[in-house]
Amino acid sequence: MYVTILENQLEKIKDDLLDYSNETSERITKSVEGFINEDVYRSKGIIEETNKINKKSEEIEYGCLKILGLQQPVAKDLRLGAAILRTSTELERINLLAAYVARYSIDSLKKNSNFFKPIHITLMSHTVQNMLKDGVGSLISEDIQLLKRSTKNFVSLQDFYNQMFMEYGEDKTSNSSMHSILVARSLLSMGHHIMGMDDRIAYSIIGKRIMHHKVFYNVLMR
Amino acid sequence: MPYRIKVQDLNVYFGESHILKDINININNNMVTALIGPSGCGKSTFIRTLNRMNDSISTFKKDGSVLLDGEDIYESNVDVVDLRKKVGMVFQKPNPFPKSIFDNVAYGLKIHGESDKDVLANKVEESLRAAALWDEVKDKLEMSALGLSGGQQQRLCIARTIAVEPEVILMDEPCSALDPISTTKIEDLIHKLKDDYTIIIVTHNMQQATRVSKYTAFFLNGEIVESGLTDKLFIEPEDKRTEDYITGRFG
Repeated sequence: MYVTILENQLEKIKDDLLDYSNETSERITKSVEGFINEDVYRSKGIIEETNKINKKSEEIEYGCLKILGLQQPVAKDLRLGAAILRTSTELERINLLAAYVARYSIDSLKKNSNFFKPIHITLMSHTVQNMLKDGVGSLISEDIQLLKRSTKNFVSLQDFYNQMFMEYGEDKTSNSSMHSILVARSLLSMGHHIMGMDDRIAYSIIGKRIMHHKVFYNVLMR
Repeated sequence: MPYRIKVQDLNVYFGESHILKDINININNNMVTALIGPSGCGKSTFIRTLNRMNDSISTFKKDGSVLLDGEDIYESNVDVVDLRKKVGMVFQKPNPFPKSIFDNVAYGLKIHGESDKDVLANKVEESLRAAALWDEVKDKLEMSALGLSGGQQQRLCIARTIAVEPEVILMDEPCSALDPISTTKIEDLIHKLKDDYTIIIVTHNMQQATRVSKYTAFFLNGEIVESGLTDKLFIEPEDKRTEDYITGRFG
């Protein structure tokens, strides 16, 4: 009886997390499209709905704390609860970063429009969304292979950013390049948040601490 | 890490039944070790082996050794009364004698030869204080122990155990018959007593094991499946059977 109740409650909260993650992914798409297409209306919409979307993080956190407090799970159930809490917090941050991307879109159009936007930004957006999909997918299905793919994609994300940054050469302070770099930097930060949640998801699935320092180290030392 | 008890290759049989199988475990000094596992897995048999309480069962047989401070407690020259003074036991159901509160605590001291009234009085007070019961009973020491509440009776039994200054205290589900408030008092007491005694507790309450113990051993079908630091065992168990048991998915 106890197990059924606990499992049902955890399943419900995993479903909520999946919905929240899908909405977050959609916001990344919309915020980057807003920048690429210079769509101020869309960008404003992203900023305005941020608080409403992030209410879900509070709901998930409350639901999770209720399970931890009332059901007092141990072992893999406890680790799953911790992973859900962390994932929910990271999704909240990613949503805030999507709002920042929208803000940079609006600011960039105050001075000039129709400026060059590197393809790297679109590619970074896709990579972040793949990382997110695989990370949350691995939490839902307890599939470590998805998690590995999510982590591995961080290297591509960093590569796209580095390449874009290098291609700007000396021109890093003009209005258009600065805003492109800020958007790309926000997407890279989203990747960092996903790596944070991936660490906790790995712990939830296999019960051993796997910190992705090695990935960061490899990326930073190249 | 100093070990108070070292159990090596212990096998216990009751007649043809093989109850404990190849048990190897070290019990640390001045720490609480919890024994968990489903009913009938051998936890109680194991702790009763540690102060030779199974000796009275005619079909009891064992091989392997149980060392207390390096000495095998099953050697023929070991005095069982002395052993039980060193290794006291608290049972599931409080079992005070139908005597006064004072006499219950003084009983163990008297059978070990203490007759000086002042010494007895001091020792009774000291034991009742250590068991966190003194303030509640100091004005009614001559009252029958049977008039105390269940929680108070259990603390009295703990006072009775510690009065004879044991080295090890065995507790067989000491809170299973108690309400949550009395349970908390006993758990607080265990926490305090661990500084002076080595405590081994059998419990079916997983949360209690996590609250009171530093080490935990999981028994299943007479074997120790996994033992180690309580934090590790309850968060990152290594054996699937441990995980299934503690998460309630056993069987």
